[in-house]
Amino acid sequence: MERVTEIAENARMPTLVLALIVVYAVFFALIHAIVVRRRP
Amino acid sequence: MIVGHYAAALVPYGRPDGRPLWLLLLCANVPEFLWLGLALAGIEPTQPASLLDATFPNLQVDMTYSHNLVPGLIQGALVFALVQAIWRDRALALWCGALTVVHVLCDLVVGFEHQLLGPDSPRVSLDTYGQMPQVAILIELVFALACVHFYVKGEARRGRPLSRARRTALYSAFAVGILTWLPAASISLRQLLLQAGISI
Repeated sequence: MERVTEIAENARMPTLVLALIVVYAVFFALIHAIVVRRRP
Repeated sequence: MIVGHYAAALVPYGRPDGRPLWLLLLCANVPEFLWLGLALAGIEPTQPASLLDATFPNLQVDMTYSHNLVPGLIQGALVFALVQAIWRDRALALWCGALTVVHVLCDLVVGFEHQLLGPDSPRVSLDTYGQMPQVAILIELVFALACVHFYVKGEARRGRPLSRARRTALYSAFAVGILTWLPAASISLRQLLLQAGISI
């Protein structure tokens, strides 16, 4: 965890934005799976 | 708002003619995806940029092109035109454009400071993330659960009720996805880990 954080910050990566991208992608897939699968 | 925007997509989806949910989910978050792209490009950066140090009150964001009111209305018009051009479905295009505009309107109530047009134009948002982040998160929760409720009740009225498991999964997904952000209303992840004895 420490190493990953260090690498990300050294590379000046905006970890907040990257984390939000993951959150939005996961939630998109989750909601789509819950709602759409119920329909034939 | 963060994940609560996705709930708005359920309102037009819960109709008899079954619109593509992926498109509605996408259109409900166009301003957010634009912001994430512009943030990565350094055009609308965030400070602090680190996930470990950010809290709602200490986060400085520039969302001129993605979340200010007039740019949001322009995005809505563009989304309408694009969906109309591809799907040739005026009702679907109107819903998609409206979802994009609703995103910006919701963020005027639950979000950061936004202006009418440019950064020097009049402020049109409540800046609830800066002033009262816990209240902002609770408003997002109420909004999302109301949208889910509208969808669930609509499906039941149309004679195709969701199973208990699906209903529970849907309500829980939004409740957990929204309330997870409550700690970030007052304390950064780094401080939270420090209190748990983990130093990073």
